[in-house]
Amino acid sequence: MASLKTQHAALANRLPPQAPSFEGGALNNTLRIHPPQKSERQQEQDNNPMSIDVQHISKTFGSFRALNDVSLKINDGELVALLGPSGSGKTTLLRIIAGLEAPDPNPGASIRFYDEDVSRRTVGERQVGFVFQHYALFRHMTVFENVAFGLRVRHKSTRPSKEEIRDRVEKLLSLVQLAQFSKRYPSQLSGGQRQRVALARALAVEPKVLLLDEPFGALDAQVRKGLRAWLRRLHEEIHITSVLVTHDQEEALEVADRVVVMNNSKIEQEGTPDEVFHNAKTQFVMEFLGQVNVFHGRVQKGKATLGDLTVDYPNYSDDHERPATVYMRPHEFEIRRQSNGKPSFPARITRTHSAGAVARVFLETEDAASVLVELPLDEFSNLALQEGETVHLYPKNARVFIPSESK
Amino acid sequence: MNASTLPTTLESPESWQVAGPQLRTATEESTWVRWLLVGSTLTFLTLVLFVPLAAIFAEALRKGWAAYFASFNNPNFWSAVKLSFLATGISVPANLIFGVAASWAIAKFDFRGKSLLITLIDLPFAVSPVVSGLIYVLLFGMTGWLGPWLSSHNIQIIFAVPGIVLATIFVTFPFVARELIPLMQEQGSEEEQAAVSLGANGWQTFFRVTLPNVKWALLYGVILSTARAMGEFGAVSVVSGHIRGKTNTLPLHIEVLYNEYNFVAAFAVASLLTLLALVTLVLKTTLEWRIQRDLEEAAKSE
Repeated sequence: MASLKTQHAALANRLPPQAPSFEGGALNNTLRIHPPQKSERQQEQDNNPMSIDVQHISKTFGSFRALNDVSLKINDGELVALLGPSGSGKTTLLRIIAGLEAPDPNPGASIRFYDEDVSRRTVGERQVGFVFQHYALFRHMTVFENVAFGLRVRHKSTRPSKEEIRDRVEKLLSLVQLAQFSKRYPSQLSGGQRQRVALARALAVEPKVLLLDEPFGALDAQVRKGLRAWLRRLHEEIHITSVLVTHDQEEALEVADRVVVMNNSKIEQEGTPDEVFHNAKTQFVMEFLGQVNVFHGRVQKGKATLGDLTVDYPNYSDDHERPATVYMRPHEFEIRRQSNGKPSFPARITRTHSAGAVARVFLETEDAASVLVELPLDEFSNLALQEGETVHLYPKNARVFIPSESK
Repeated sequence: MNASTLPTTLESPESWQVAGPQLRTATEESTWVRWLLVGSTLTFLTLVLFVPLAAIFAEALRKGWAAYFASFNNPNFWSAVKLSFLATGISVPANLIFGVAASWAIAKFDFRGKSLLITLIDLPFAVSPVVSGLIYVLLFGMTGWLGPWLSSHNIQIIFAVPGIVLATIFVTFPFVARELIPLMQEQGSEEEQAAVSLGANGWQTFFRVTLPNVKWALLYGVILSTARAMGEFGAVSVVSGHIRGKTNTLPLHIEVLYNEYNFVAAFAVASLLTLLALVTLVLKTTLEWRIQRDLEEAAKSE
C-alpha cells in the first residue's frame, strides 16, 4: 500500500518535466527505453502483491454467456492488454473489474485490488480510472472542467482547495500535451485530443488502476500509432497498473507488458507478447496473432507428418493416427530453386509483391493449398523469383495442433 | 499543359441561371407550379391564421384603448388571472419533476413495462380534454367513486381549485417527458458512467452531467406545458363549475364574457392569451434550434 501511495504522489506532484511527445515525427527517434526504471519496476513487481486479482468470474446477459469462469491476476505497475475478437468477453471483464458491471453471483467469484475485496464496492469507491471507448467526455464542460470533475465532486473533507485543483489539472493537461486547449469544449477537439482529455480526467482522481476500453478504437491509423507509443511511454513515466482492451493484435503486442488473449468468453492464453506470439498454446492464439499458413497433416507415435515433412510432436504418442493442423508463419520459410535433399515441398509462385518492408511471395502447392512466404527484400532480389516458376519451400519452424474432438 | 491554352469560351454556371425562366435546372419545378404552391399556401395561412389573429386585436381595440384597459379593471378578471397562474404554477413544476424522473428512467435504464410507461405518458395527448375532465368528475364528483368519502371529510375537489389543478396537470403531463426522452436516449448513459467512475454520487451525476446536457430540451418542455396550462379550456371547463371570481380561469372567463355579448372585454382578455402564445412561439423556435444542435452533437460524439 505504501509504495502505491508514493506512486500517486509521484503522479500528482512530480509529473515528468518533459512529458513524452506523441507526435508521429518525434516518435521514431525519441522512443526512449528506460533500462534502470525497468529493472526498478521488475523489483517492485517481485515485492508487491497482486494489484488486481479476479477469480472465477462469469457473466451472462440474458441467454448470452459473456464470461465463463475467468480468473486473472495483474501485477502492480503492469500494463496488460486484453486481446480478442469482438464478443470474446474482454470488455465485459474490464467493466466488471471497474465495477460498471456486476458478475453473476457465484460463491467462488472474487474481485480484489491490492488484497482488498472490492466486489461489493461501487465503481466510484473502487478508485479506478476508466477511459471509455467513445471518451464519454462531459460535452457541456470545458477540457479543464472535465479533468477537474473527479476532484470537484469529492466530499468537502477530502476535496483539494481550488488552487490545488487548478494546479493538478494544469499539470495533467501538460502531461497529455493539451495545456493550451483547457478552455475548449470536447466538440472542438480532434479524436486523439479527446482521447487524451479522457485519459487526463481518469488520472486526475489518482486511481489505483487505469482501465482503458478500446482506447484507440475510434481513431484513424496514423493517430493510433502515435498515441499508442505515447501511451506506452506515459506508462513508463507513471507506472500505474493499467488494463487495456483491444481487438488489435499489433496494438496489444506493441504496448503491453503482458497480453491476455481471450476468445469465446474464456482466456485462451496469457503471457508476454513474445510468449503468446512465438509460443501459442492454442490453435486460436496461433491463428489470431500474426499471419499463418495452415496445412492439414496427420499425427502418430510422436510425429506429425505433412507430405515429406515430419515434425516431432511428443504430446501425442498414440499409435492411432489422427488428423492434425500444422501452422507455419510466413517468415519461417526458405525458398530454393534446387532441392538440397532435405524435406521440402514444391510450390508454384502465383504472385509476388515487394513494395514494403519485406517481400511477400504467394504460392500454391501441388494439392492447391495457398502459401504465403515473407522474405527479406535483399534475399528476394538475389533469388530473382519469377511468377509461374516452381520452387522448393523449406519450413524452418512448424507448430502442430490436434483439433479437439468436440469441435 | 498551360492554363492559358484551355478554351475560354465556356460560360460560367451563373450565366446559365440568368438566361431565363425557361432554362430551369433539372431539380426545379416550372415557374407557375412554384407560384401556385407558394400562393395557395399563403392564401390558406392568411385566411386561417393571420386574419383571425388580427381580428382578435381589432375586436379588442374596436372601442379604443380606454375600453380595452377597462376590461382588465374587474375583480373577476383578476381572480381568473390568479387562478390560471396558480394552476400553472402547480402543474408545471409537478410535471417538470415527473417528466425528468420518467425520462431519466426510460432513457438510461432497462426495466419491465417500459413501453407501457411510454404509452401511458402519451395518453393525455390521445384523450379528448373533455374526457380527461370527466374522468375526474367520475372519480371525485358527488356521485363519483370517491365523492361520498370526500364530502364526508369536507374535501371538495370538483368545482373547486384542486380539480382545476388536477385537470391541468393531466393535460400537460406529456410535454416535458416527450421532449426529454429522445434527447436522453440519443445521448446514452456513458457520460453518467464516467461521472460515477470519477466518484460522483447520484445527485452530483444528475445535477452536473445529466441535467446540463438536456437543459434546453427541458426548458422547451416547460414552455410548452406552461402555454398549454394557461390556455387549457376543455378539461378545466368540465371540472370548474364556472363559479365567477372563484373557479374561472382565463379561458373560462373569456367564454363567460363572450356569452354575455361583452365582446370588447372578451377579446381584450383573449389578446393577452394571444400575446402569451406569440412569446411562446418565439421562445420555442429559439430553443428548437439549440436542441437540434444538442442532438447533432450527441450523434457526432457516437
